[in-house]
Parts: sequence; structure tokens; C-alpha cells
Amino acid sequence: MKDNFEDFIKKEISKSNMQIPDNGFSDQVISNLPVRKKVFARREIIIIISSIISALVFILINGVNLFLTGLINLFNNLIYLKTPNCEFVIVLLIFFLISLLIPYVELRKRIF
Amino acid sequence: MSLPDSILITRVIVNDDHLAFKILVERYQSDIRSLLLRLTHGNKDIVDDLAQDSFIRVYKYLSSYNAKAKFKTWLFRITYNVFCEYYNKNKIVQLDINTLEFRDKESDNSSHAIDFQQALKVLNVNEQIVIILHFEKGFTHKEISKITKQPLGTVKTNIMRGKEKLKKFYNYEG
Repeated sequence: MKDNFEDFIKKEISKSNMQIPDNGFSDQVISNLPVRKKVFARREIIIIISSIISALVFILINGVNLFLTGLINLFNNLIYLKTPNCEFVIVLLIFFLISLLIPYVELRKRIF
Repeated sequence: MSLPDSILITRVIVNDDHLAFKILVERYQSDIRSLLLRLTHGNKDIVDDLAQDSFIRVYKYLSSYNAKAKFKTWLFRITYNVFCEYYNKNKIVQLDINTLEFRDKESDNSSHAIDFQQALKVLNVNEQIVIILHFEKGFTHKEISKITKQPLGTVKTNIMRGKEKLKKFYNYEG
């Protein structure tokens, strides 16, 4: 329950209320801010270099062809399987979920 | 038209927009400097240095700010941390309540401003911060608990103890 003393204290505080004018304080803070661009630049460079390397490797090993053949084989095997292989499907599902989770976490980190 | 904090923060994080950060500094500098002025018992020489240190730290760690929390609460928490570091290096004198001459009820009103600053000196640093944040800055117990990293119960106890000491200082009979 709020007592009278709380009102008394608030009154005392309001009598000594301090509104401090800026007087160039914000300019002083801005002029002393540390440089942050470099950190971002370094991170961007790492991302760009690793993207270029992965694209080159992908082209060199004929990645498109490999990826498509792999995918076709996978579906063929799944279609013509007589007895469903649960372990195989579970492993496939886990990999599928992980592949979704990684970009989701990365995006969340960047947005929020 | 004044932009909300969230938009200014996003601009600072994404575009490293100094102008947006300047608006944030202008918006909160009075609150931060007045808090530090109270906590340092009016030591103007150190207040601006501590306030500047707080804002620079905010800028540095802004990307780690959780948007679910109020920006003002986060800013006060950083300021309190900066003050604690300063306080641990340079112990600020606390007055003994038993040796003080208490305010006479008949005394004139013009001395009130000095009195409250003087009154704060009878409190220890934990009591001072909770009293200022609660009664002057209008923070709730839960927010004070986040700012000072004290458990909720301790915040309530410190407010109660602080009030008792102030009652004694002001010779208040309610």
C-alpha cells in the first residue's frame, strides 16, 4: 500500500528535479565513438571469400550434375524400395531438418 | 516528429547511423546525467565522463541488445554497471545516520533541494540506486531488479530500508 511518505519523498525529489541541458554533450559522445565499420567489413570479407571458394569447388566437381544425379538416385531408390527402410528415412529427415535449421538460426541472428 | 527508440536502434545497428545515435543520446542524456549526479553526490567533474562512457558502451554493445526489453532499462543497467566500476575504484563517502543533525520540521522550504541530495548520503549505494530509480525515475520493482541485478525481494527490502532511513533523516511522522 502506498503511504504518505512516498508522496512526501516524490515531492522532495520534484523540488530538486534536475533537467540537464545537452550543451554539446551529445556531440562530444559522437566524436568519441569507436570505429565499428572494420568489424563488419572483416566479417563480410570472410563471407564473400568462402562463398567464392564454395562456388568454384561446386563448378570444378561438376556440382550441378552430381547434385541432380544424386537426387534422382535418391528418389528412384525410395520409389522402388519394396520394404520401407525406416532408418534411412529418419536419417534423411534429420538432415533435412538440420539444413532448414542452420539458415533459420543465421537469419534470426541477423534480423533480431 | 520523434522517431521511436526501436527505429533509431535499428538504424544504428544496420547503417551505423551516427545521427540516429545522437538522437538517442539527446533523448536520454538528462536522465543518465541526473542519475549519476545523484549517485556521485553532485560530483560534476566525473558525471560527464561516466555518462559518456555509458553511451559509448551502449553503442559498442547495441547489437547484443534484446528488443524484448525496454531500451531505457537496458541503458540504465549499463550506466549502473559503469557507476559500480567507478564506485569500486573510488569509494564514495556514506554518512552515518546517527551522527547527522536531522532536519528541523520548521526549517524553510528553500533548503529542500540540498536536503534531498544530503538525505541520499545516509543511504548505502544499493539503497540509493533503488530509491532514485523508483521514486525519481519511476521504474517498477521488476525493472529495478533487472537494472541492478538484485533479486526482487532484495529490491523491495532496500526500498523499505531506504525509506526508513529517509524518514529518520527528515524526522517524518506520518
